[in-house]
Amino acid sequence: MKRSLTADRIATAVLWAVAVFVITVLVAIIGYFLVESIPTFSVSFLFSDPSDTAIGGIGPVLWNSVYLLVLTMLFTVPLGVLGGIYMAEYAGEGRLTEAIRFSQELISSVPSIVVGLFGFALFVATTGWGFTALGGALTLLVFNLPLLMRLSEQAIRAVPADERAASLALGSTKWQTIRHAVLPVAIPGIVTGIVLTAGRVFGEAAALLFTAGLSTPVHYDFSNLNLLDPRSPWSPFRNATTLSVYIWKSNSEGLGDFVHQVANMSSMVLIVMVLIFNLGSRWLGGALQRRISGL
Amino acid sequence: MQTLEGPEPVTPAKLAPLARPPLEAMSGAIGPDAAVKLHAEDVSVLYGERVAVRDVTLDVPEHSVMAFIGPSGCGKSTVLRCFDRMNDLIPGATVRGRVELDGEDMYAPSVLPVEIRRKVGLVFQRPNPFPMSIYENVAYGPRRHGQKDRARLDEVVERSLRQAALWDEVKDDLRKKSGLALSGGQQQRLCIARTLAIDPEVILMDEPCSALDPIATLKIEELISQLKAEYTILIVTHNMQQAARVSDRTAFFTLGEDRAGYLVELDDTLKIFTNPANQLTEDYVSGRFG
Repeated sequence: MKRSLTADRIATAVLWAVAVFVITVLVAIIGYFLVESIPTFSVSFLFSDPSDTAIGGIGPVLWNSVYLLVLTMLFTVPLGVLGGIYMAEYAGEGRLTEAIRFSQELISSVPSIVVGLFGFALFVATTGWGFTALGGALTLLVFNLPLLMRLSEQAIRAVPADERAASLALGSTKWQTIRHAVLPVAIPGIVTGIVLTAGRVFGEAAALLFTAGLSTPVHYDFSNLNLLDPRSPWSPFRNATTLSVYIWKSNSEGLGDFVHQVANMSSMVLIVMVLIFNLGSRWLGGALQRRISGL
Repeated sequence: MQTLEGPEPVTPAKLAPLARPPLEAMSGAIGPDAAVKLHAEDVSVLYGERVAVRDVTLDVPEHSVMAFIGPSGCGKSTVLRCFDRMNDLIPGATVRGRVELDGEDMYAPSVLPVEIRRKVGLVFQRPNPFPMSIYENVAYGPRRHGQKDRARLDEVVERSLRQAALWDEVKDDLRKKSGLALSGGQQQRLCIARTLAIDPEVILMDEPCSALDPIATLKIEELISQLKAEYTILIVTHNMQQAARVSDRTAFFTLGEDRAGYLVELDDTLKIFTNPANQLTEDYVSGRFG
């Protein structure tokens, strides 16, 4: 009796310690960048152009991050959600299903720098596009598709079998059942998956180094709407250095003391954005859940 | 029904010691001239290699209530689900023999399960409303069948909820309130309304009251008695008093030596509960078994 009580206390203490450790690390990281960047931070940093001789700003790279995020999600969301529906509702037990699952797991465990090299070979060299936003987006698709597919599949599988059966028993077809009974219930989970994937896309650097490029962008002229002009910030066929790539770049190029400050402030912006994505996904998922179930 | 006050309600457990329900509670027998709505001939259901139910032959007369009774695992629900092809959804399940609706083979290759399920509704054991408003729950079937006209939908929703004796309780927040926010008994009546909304000819009920309290159960039973004027109803129940109260005919199933369920006896409910032909039925309805 005494021994089991002791074991109980030890287990409690160890689990608490682990939890506190994890939170401490998170707070330390955020705190470090906050403390480092706040003295020089100003809102104009977010919108002005980068400079090679002074702190400058991150306007263009922040734009590129958002641009690449939207472009990537344009490919990833339909394919990922449809793939998830296929895996949850249509895939039987067979060689094809096994092959898909195996690929999903494999791609998830491949380091992103390797996926980046693959993207370079395919979307930069073979296609002859050079470093482009489109090439970067397709590379990000490669390793975010399996993740979103699995998250969507899980959300769809979590819908009670009762609701599927109820819909079918009312004479609905399989697709009607998926569309009107299953998806509305699964949507909060799918949206959470989409936002989590978006956070990953936003923070990704290694896979973009050799695909979307890493040249410091010059001033962007947003009135240039020609999608095929590589100077237009709207064009997918242009060099698009993102915020995370820019952090790596400014830290690796010793242009002066100010670059550390640029890297720190950029990192803070990145962390805050990813944090917003993660908290946002939880909030949005919960809000949709309440709205759809009307409770 | 939400305001349960006064003396403690009578629970099924308290009713159980009654070996036989009062005779006057039983419905009349069906005349031999009633049209056959559902017909099963030598129906067996297999799950993979295992025979779950074997050689069931029975007729269900139109506008009548038939109860399936028997011990757990004897295949009552399995037989029930042959009549709307819900067994098709279970991987590895096969139905052998012939099942007819209005004399037509339900399992003919040209027949789509979706067509059958529009004529034969199913009410599940546990109330399973969709997580949508009450209105959308009832309108779900008609919408899927192509009904887009708002006035027609409003009409169907009101008629179905009235038929299910739920209208007065929910009419004020049809669109605001979720089906899941109702009490268990109301949810089950909502599920019945949802089934009625597709205008079926047959309603299958798979232990519709097993998750409900006795008052809610009584409401559903009253409802069944009213619905049989227009519909043909098949109900699986573990509650023999319920079978006796609501059904015209009763089918008793049990498990054979081979672990497969089979139909022991099918007769007028009055006869099954007072003077069954088979000793197994006698033992079951008098509480000596099962």
